Amino acid sequence: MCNEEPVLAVKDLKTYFYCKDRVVKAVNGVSIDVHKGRITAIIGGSGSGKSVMSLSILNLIDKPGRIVDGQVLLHGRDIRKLSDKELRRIRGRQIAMIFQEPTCALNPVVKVKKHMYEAVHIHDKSARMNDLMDGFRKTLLRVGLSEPDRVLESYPFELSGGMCQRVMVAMGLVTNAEVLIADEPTSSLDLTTQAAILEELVRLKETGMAVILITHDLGVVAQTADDMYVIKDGIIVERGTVREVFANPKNEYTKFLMEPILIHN
Amino acid sequence: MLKSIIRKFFQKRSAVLGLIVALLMVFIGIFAEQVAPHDAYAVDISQKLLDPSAEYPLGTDQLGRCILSRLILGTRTSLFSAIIVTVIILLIGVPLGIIAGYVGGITDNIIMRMADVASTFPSSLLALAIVGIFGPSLRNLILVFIFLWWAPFARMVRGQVMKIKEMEYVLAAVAAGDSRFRIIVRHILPNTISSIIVYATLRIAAVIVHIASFSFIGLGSQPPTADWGVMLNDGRQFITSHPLMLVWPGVVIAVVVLAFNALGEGLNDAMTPTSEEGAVVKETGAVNV
Amino acid sequence: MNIVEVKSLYKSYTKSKPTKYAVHNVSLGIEYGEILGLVGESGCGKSTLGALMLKLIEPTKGEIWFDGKNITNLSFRNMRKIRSQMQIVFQGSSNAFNPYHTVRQIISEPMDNYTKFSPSEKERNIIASLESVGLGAEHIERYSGELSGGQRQRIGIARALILEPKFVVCDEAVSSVDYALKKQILKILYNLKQEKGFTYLFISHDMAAVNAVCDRVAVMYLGNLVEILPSVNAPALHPYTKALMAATLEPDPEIKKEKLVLFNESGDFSYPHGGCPFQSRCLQANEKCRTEDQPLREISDGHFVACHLI
Repeated sequence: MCNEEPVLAVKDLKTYFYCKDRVVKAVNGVSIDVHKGRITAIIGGSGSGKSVMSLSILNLIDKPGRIVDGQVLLHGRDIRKLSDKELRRIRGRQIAMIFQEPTCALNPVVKVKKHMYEAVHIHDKSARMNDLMDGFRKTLLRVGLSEPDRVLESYPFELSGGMCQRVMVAMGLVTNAEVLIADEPTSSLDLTTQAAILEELVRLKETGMAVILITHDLGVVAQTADDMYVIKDGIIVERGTVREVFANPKNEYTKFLMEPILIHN
Repeated sequence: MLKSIIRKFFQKRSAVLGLIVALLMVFIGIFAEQVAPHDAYAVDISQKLLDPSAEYPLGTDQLGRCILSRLILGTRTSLFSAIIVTVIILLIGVPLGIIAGYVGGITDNIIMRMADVASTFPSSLLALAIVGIFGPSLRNLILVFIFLWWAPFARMVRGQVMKIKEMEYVLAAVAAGDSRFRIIVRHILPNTISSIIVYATLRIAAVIVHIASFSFIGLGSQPPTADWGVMLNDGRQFITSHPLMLVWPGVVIAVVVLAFNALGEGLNDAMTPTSEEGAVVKETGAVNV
Repeated sequence: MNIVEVKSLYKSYTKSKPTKYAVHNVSLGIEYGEILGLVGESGCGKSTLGALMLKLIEPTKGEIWFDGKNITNLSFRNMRKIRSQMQIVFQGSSNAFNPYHTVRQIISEPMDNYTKFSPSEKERNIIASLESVGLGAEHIERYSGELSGGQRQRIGIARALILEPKFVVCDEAVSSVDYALKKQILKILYNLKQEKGFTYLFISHDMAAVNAVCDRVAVMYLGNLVEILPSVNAPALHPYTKALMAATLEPDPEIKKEKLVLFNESGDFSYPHGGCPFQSRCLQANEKCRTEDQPLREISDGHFVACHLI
């Protein structure tokens, strides 16, 4: 992998969920390095802890979950030690996130154009809505929304799930954060839209953004990512550049994931 | 499922308190004669307008009747009539709401237009009209309320049914070969029942207040009936000299209404699935959480 | 011999003109024992077509045939008589099961309607069906809200297959599960077909899954059938199918597909009136595409394409 200092480094993160009679160790000692200008993929099955890990980076874990141990280093500074107020300044500005459930993540009574404006405004206070509208239109077209003006004027509840997801990706694209965490950004979208969106993420990384791409789809990893981590049951079982891991998978689980689904003769 | 609902309910103090008070009131209503220290109708002018004492714990009214006994007996008229009204509008509104929601089309239209007619009557005018024709009584008041209030119930149920009808599991039930009756009974009804129960509980509280109000202005129960509204009316003339005569029935009404509201809210919260457990399970697939 | 056949099927949800069709003039037959894949973008009508084949929704125009009989105008009661032979597996969303029912009640439902098994026989059948999808007796008392997405998906399959129906519509049945589970479920579905001769309509937007189990593949766009491929290895001929194939991501970083511009991305995407449904996005569209309807034509044995340019 890259020899530069990582923009974001997670060290030995542990996030546990405290339920009535047992503790679920969703993330159990995970360390990852995310570099500027590269797409780092985290691949795992459901329940592997990948989403919990991404939420933990921005300290978005609620009861009964708790981040028990570990460091999250942004440019070498442990952001876990920051106060709530300081952390809020980082969220959206330095580290932006695209969530998995688009309909929940967008405020239903705020128009799309306002959402997108907020994504920019949080970074650049001098930005004015009118100047940005043209850019928003182009971005919405790029994520496959064919009627950008209509979408900009709509409220999230008027849009389908797939459209909301694309709006979220668009918000991720217009933000100027250093790190973008994309949690399953294309899971409920069609192949053609997925291809378009992944292309956009690649374009973003080329501008220097560090992208963390969380997915369960090996095709997405192979065609888009530079570095990859395989996560299973809360721990990283394999890591390396995408080409290394695909050429030479060492872990049993990784090998299993790479077997093609051959059922027909 | 029932166990977790009961458990959630008992975690909330206000809900449990509401339940206790409500049950207490019902108990008192059933055993009113045994519980009351005196005969609620026994008139004794020599004992009129006494302050609270050992013999008359809440004092007496202008005809020498024990106020506590009258309040206790009043449970029958006020609370039980409210329960009767609520049960009947439930029996009318729920089936009509289900039919309107499930069958749709012209049937839905007819039922909803009837509901519109019933809802647009202002309650006081209708009460006055009925009283003018048939004379004032608790029974006539009950009939008026039933006529007015089955409609919002039916509407609420209809809305719920229309939402549930679109759920995938209803489609799956059709695919599984369920008859329409079975779909309604096994799928639609259970998913509306929690709203119905909560709505009914809250409605009881509202009906109590309405009955008391109308009796207060003379359109419902008539003196000498031991009715909280009537007692409020009796107390009006003595508001400066013996204010307690107004306070006692007022307090009782307030307490009962609060109790049923707390009960209704508690039931609502208990029956709403919380996301806490669900979220962890979904995240990890753990079965034994 | 076709177990299911739809003839000139239309489904529209709006009454206002111009009519917008969710399914537009679809004629398709599914042979006994085959797994027919149905692919397309979201909103193309594939789920609607699946539900129409089972008459879970009523068609606006056209005919539906099942097992040699015309079921288009059967009443609710008469449909109930044959529903045990035709089932559907949903995507496993949160609405797929009654939140007040246990797994036992969910899986018994079809049995309650069509069999006279004793409770112990039902219990045995339920446990057997749970085991066949990789779950067990310990799940029988669970409520659907207590299960993970993958477990719910499998319950849906168990419910659909408990009466061993001849025809099953799998509507995105493996779309919300992870890779390991996907393989397992596809294997289960395929093995059951081999053993018992089920016929499936496999609706999916996951080309890898479709290629893994399907015999033939039908492609839909905006409610129309645009291509029917006789096998998963047949070359894609219709411009839309070609674009779909190009968009699938190979799980191999060494294979980088050329970035082909296959869609006309800007332009009017409103529902076209007359002519080929793909006209506004197709790069090769000409006058004829815009004015003449394109029916499915047989290009070679079993391979149908709805495009006059092929």
